[in-house]
Amino acid sequence: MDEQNNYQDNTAYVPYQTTVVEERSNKANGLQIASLVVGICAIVLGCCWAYFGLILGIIGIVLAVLGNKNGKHGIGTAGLVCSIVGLALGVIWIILAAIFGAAAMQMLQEMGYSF
Amino acid sequence: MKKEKELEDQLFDIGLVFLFVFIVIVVFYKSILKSVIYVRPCLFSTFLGIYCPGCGGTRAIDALFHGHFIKALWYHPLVPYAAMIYGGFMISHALNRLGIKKVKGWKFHNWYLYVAVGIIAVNFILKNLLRIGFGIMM
Repeated sequence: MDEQNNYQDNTAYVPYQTTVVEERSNKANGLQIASLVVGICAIVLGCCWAYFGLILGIIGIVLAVLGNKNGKHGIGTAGLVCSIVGLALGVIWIILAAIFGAAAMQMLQEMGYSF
Repeated sequence: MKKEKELEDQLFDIGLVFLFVFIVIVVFYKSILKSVIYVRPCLFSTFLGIYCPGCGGTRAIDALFHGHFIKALWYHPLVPYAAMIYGGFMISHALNRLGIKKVKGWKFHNWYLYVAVGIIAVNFILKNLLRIGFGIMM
């Protein structure tokens, strides 16, 4: 005990810093929410037109990455996942169109649609 | 408290951007795009035999803008739901910002998004069940 007083050891008197972690906001920030919305749109619209999936998917990924820089949240992760799925959908559609495009166009023309 | 206010402000600004983009797309479509792009059926439905998760979305938006809320709900329930949440949020915050302090801006809740995903999933499963199980087309 004498040694502690002589050395002016301050570590024993410093309170445990537990509050720092809890101060972090548990809410997602605006960019993460926007990335989820754009990601959902990328999936929903990507089924309709491949380029929606591509463009919205890329926008969603950028928003998610920017939003996640400040702190992780479930919504940020979900936004990233949805945007990647939307992007993948767009890419799959383009590949399918490249493979089956000619046959599909013929089938549509037989159904009565002109191009 | 300060951090929570920042989130709603961010979302309001992002909401304004969405509104602007939406208006640009509608104007662009009605003026130029409509006469240029092909009329074609839904490729997803034609070639895969099931409805896509967004089936009926365009019809729902059209119905909503013509005042047919119930029709919009039937075509795709996500559209009137999103319109209500977006409209309520943006209008309440706009009124508050414009000075009508009696109107409190809506708070953002995570369940807004979880319910949206749930609606998409349930609508997708239900409509395809009707199509595949009972042959009922929309």
